[in-house]
Order: sequence, then C-alpha cells, then structure tokens
Amino acid sequence: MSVPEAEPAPDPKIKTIEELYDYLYKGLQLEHATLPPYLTALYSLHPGKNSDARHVIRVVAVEEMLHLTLVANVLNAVGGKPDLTKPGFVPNYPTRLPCGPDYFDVHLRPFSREALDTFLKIEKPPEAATEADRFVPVDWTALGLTSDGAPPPPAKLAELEESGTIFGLVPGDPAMRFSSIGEFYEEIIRGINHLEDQARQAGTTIFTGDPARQVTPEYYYSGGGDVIEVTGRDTAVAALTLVAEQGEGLHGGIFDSQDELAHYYRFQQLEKGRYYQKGDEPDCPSGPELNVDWGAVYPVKPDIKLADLAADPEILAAAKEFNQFYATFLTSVNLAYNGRPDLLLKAVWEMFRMRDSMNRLIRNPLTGHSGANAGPTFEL
Amino acid sequence: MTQSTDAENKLREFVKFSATVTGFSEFDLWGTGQAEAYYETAVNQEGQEAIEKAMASDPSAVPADPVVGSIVKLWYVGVWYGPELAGRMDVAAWTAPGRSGAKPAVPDDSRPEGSRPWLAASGRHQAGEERAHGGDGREPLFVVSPDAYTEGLLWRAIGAHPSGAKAPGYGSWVNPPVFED
Repeated sequence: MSVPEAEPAPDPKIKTIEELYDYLYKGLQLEHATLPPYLTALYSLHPGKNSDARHVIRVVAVEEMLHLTLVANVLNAVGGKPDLTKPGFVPNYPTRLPCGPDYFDVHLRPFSREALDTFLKIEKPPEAATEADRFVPVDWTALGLTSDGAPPPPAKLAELEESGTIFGLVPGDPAMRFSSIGEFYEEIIRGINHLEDQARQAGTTIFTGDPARQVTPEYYYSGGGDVIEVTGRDTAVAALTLVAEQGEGLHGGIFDSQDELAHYYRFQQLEKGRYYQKGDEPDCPSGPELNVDWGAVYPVKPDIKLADLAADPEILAAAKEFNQFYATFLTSVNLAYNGRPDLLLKAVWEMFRMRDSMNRLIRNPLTGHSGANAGPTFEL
Repeated sequence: MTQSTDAENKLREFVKFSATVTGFSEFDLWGTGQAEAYYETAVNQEGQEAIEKAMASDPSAVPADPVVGSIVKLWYVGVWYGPELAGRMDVAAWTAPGRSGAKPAVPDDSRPEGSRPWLAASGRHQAGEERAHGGDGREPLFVVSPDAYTEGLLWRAIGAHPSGAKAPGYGSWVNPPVFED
C-alpha cells in the first residue's frame, strides 16, 4: 500500500478472471479467519466486567464482518460466486498470518496481553518499503512444514492453501508469500485494474455480476462503517481499500476514510489504558482513561479441540452442537451472499444465539485440565 | 494449592447438586457464569453448615429442606430469597413497591409483624458487595448481581429472553420462541 509512485508499474500477479476469483476467495477466508479469535477473546471476559475491552473487541469483530461482506460484494461484482461452505474455509487453529519478515500464529485463546499483541499485529503489520519488499520467500522450515526448506509436495501444498492453515501465500508460487495482508489486497486491486483495462480495450468490462447479488446498506446495519455496493472499478477499489485501511488507518492517521477509529488504534487503547479522541496523533491517545481487568477472564484452553473434551460429555455435546450451528450459520450467510441479501438480517439473529452458546461453553471448567475452561473449537 | 482445590471441589459439588434440583444440566448451570456468585451468596446467607445439610438432603423429599427452595429459586430468577421467603410466588411484591415506596404492591404477610424485608432490598446494595452470614448481615431478599437477572434459568425455560438484555436481534420476534431440550 506504500509503494512509491515513481516505480514502474509492476507486472500484476493476477492475469485472468479465474485468478482474481481465487484471490478474492482467499480474501473471504482471511477476513473470516479473524472472527473466531476475536470472538473467543470477547466472550472470555467475565460478565459485568471489562466493559471497555468488551466494547472495543466487539466493534472490531463487527467490522470484520463488514469486511467479509465487502469482499463478497467485489467477488459478486466481477461475476464470481462466494463460497463460505467449502471444506477448509474455517482454519484449524492456530493459523498463520504474514507479518513483514515473519509469520505469526493466531490462536483461539482468552483475552490477555498476548492475545492483544496478536490483535495489534493482525491489524497493522509492518509496511513494505519497496516493490521488492512486498514479497518474501516462504521459510517452510521455520513454519515447521518441511525439514529442508523446500516447499511441500504439490498435493500437500494444495491442502495447506485450501485449509487456511497459512495465509498470504502467492498463488502459483510456493516459494513466495506476501509480506502482509495489506500487500495481498494491493495485489487484488492491481489485478482488478489490469483486467479491467484489458476488458475496456476490448470494449467490455469485468464487472458483469448481477447487481441483485450485492449486499446493500438496507441489508446491513452495524454502527461502524457502511457497506459499499460494488458496481464498477471505483467502488471495487473503494471497498477493498476500506478493508485494508479500517485495520491500520488512512495515510498514517488513526482514522479511516469513514472517520472510524482504525482497528489497530482501537486495540491500542486497551494497551495504553486511554481512549483516543479527535485530533490525537498515533500512539498518543489523550481521551478518557479506561480500565482493563486482565484477571476478570475465563481461562479458555488455547486452541481447544473436541479431542480435549473426552472427560466432559456435556461440554463435548455442546461444543459439537455449536460447530454444527456455526456451519449452518455460514450456510445462511453464504446464501445471503449468493442472491438473497435479505437473509443477512436473519443471520444476525443466529449470531445472537451463537453468542449465547459461546458464552456457555467458555464459562464451563474442564475436567482433567486444571484451571482451564472450555470454548468453541470451530472444527467444522 | 490444596485450599484452592478444596474450594474448587466444593463449588463443583454445589453445581452438581443444583443440577439435580433445578432440572438443568451442570453444563447449563456453569454456562450462566453465576456459579461462584451463587455459591458464595448461599454460604454467606445461611452458613456453610446449612448449605451442606441442604446438599445432603433428599432432593425429592416433600417438603424439601427450606434452603433447597432458596437455591432453586436463586438459579431460576437470580434473586436470593431467604428460606422463609422461598415459597412466595409474588416476585412483583418487592420489585414494584407501592407509589410511596414504603410498602410493596402486594401485602407481605409471610413476615412477622413489623418486619419489612422490602426495605432491606430496595437497591441500597451494589453488586459484589458482601453480605455476611449471621447477625444483622443476613438479608432475606436481594438480586445477586445485574448479570444474575439476565442469566436466570427461567428465561431459557420459557424460551424467552430477559427484557432489556440479551437481545435476540431486531425483528426476531416474528419467530415463535425456541424451546430447548
């Protein structure tokens, strides 16, 4: 996102509409992948405590849902079909996100200083200084996925890409990855520009999607950020830019183009114990103080799996039921993204039921894991 | 270490017993997030001995140990009713005092003459404030915490949500209530 304009226009990685669809599917998978970690941290907060932390995490989670919807709108606008029900759409946690020279693990875990640190990294990875810095060789050994540093065999690689175990890989080039998620979206924008330029030269457009498949503002209420109806190049770029800048802020400021405090700075408030207010510079919030009670948190077992619940049949049954409910929920959202935007309003009701189910799981102490509580496993 | 494990075991026993007498699963009871607060409330109000006696009693006995009635009611409505009040049905009696605020809308004849428990429960106390067992610290009637109200089992039992909290989403009222198994 920070590439100087003087450099020559680089060769875009996306050269066909099918490749664009693949990138946008990855975008959907990526936006969704932030939700289980945010929700686990959110509902790990003791009831009636930590209202500041609760509010901050909740707003960010809701805006991640907006991002998911924005990416779906772009995919629909270029004639693609969102699919949130593909096997592997939901990662098997921990998953990995690119953060400049390193990858970092994203866990399902309770709210804590470590969790907050991960959230800050998710929202504002280091920026690439030059065009060449946008890509980084994948260190497969450091990821623990091969022993000799070479990419895994094609079948294994395909499985990894499909499963959301690791994000930011450059499709078709297993040796390279994007340095950050921002660069991943930058590549999509370049691809859209490239393909649309080509199409226009031939007297056509890539924006051939049925406008009725767009999720428009009447189907989306959130309180943070407006959904953008994507009808052409400008709105597509606006939607993807909003996705990127809502995380890290616009032009180095703390707000995005819709005047919402960027996610990075929202989270930073919890670290600094103080709210931002209008006119503040990055890293220097000067608003009211806020309090975080780091101890008023249920100790959810990190990256909990159904296999951890063998000694607790009631919890196991509830965790399985939650996973089924979550799968059904994704199916509803998927229908909404495939021509039935009105279903999104009903999906909101399902979200409230999910909240209650997650709360119940998280408040249950485990047997045989001293001092650890249950939580949603998100194994679909 | 031993001490905390002991406290943990006592809490688990309390939840186990509560599951038997409320008809909800242990999972559901823990799921309210109120287990610690309720156990603490019961012990502070009636004393460890009375709670252990109640938990050792036959849950199907009629009439049940009076403290059992208090515990059941606590889980269902999030309100501590001392054993002498646990049988009362008129929740409104104390939540809606008369206009003067001096007496309940429904006459309280379950208390000895001159005793006016609704005054003790008129909201002077903040959530989390300790209510000690014995002597003057005992209170026959109070809401345990703001969350206790929203976590009452009664809402799930009737397939509804507590008004003003745990909203199920705009427009969801077009659906029939969802009853659980």
